[in-house]
Amino acid sequence: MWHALRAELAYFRPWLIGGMGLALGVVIIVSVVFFAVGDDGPPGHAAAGIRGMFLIMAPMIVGFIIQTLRSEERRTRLLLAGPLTPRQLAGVMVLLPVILFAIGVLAAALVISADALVTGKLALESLHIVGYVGGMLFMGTMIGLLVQEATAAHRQRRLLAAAAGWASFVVAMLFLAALTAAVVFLQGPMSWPSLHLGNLIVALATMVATVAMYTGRTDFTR
Amino acid sequence: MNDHRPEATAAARLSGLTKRFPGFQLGPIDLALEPGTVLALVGPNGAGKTTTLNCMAGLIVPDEGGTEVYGAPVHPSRTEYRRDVGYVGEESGFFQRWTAGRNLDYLAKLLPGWSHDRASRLADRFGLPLGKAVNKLSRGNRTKLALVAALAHGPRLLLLDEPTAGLDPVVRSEVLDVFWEITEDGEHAVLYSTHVLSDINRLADELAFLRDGQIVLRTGRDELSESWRRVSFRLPEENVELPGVVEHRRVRAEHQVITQDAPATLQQLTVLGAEAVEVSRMSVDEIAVQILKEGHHVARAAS
Repeated sequence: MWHALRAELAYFRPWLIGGMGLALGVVIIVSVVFFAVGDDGPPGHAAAGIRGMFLIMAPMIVGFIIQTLRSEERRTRLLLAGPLTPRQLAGVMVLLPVILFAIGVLAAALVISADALVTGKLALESLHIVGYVGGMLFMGTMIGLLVQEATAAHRQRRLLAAAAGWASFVVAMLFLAALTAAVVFLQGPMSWPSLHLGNLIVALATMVATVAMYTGRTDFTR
Repeated sequence: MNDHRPEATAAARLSGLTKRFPGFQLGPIDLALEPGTVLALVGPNGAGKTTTLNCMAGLIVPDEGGTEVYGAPVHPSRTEYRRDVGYVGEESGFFQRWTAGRNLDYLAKLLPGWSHDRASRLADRFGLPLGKAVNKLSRGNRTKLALVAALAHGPRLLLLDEPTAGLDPVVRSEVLDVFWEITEDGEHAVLYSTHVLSDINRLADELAFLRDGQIVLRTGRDELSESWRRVSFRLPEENVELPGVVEHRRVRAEHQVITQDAPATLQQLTVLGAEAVEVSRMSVDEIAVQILKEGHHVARAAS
């Protein structure tokens, strides 16, 4: 499985480098603009957050592209010629966005740290903004994979699995809606951590559900 | 048609294989493929050839029944059988922007039993441009790459899903040459699906005709060309009952029939005192068309 995962990362490295390069370009432009407008620009923590967001968004967008290309190239067919089980194939599928997310988090952390070193201030707020946006994107990617498996289950007439997939999706959405509403009404020191934890719980739960549904597939031709 | 053979060492064995799709059912299919045999699975588009091969490769899980490869059950969750299977389909899942050589290097690490020596010998023999990206390869070269990838780990069963479909005549002939070389040694059991009937003559020892998800006839190629004949004769009677006849036309006093049991038909014609009897051979292509056209009728007559 790790060999397959490494190969996918090596194959998609040009997209990742391109995406990160583009994001870095945007970060530089934004920084120049913020520097030019000086005190008329956004507060320091918001500026750092905006820069971090671009860096965390870039690999996640590359993740969407990777998903589409892997599916177009029918990679499953190649991997099922080897000794990989469907569970391991599902592992490759869900771990790719995890790695991309980690790269985004690392890049954003570097920019925010550099900003903190230059300004001498580390605003916790900027970390939360970046973490929340990144978490939403990561969770969205995982939900996308779950929906893909629910659709595949429906196509393969595994109606119980399809229903379970769609039900998981609805429950995840309701959970996030309830959590967000609660945080908005009961603002306090635990608001941001609650939102991060909510995203993480939904992402992990959908990851597990996706792997379970993929393992139960009856058709690996697409 | 069911084919029950007692050998436990069949290269592939399909037992009651059934897969249902909306508006289409494949099977139940019972089929055994002996080691060293080249079996052509012949049928029109939509007959179920690709689904059968996908079930045998473990890419599709059947609704009922199952498949074994050299005694190992085939299922996506099992891996034992994969060592023995080489699969060449229209889509092979290669990394399109990597070169053919890099794809083979990747597979070398993925597939147990991979032989670099075998892979490079095959690539040389096929004239495969290893330095070219897969998405820049011609269709014929992509088929050759799929074939190298399918053979380099030393499988004993080769599944070929319409490998010559869409190829121009020159490349098709080149690819058929390659298949011919591979199958010539008798080491590989090959299941070859095709609707290009002219391929049959060159490669197959045996033929299984698939129509509407059912195997309507399985027979040896030589047996087929020996038993099928086009016969014309004169008899005053308008309706003549003849054994083995699958098609009967009457033009004035002359009858023209196609028979799948020439000796029995000719014997009956002698008994009936038919005159001006003329017998002509049919090509395997012509016979295949006849079988696929007549379908279950032929199968009933044969059973």
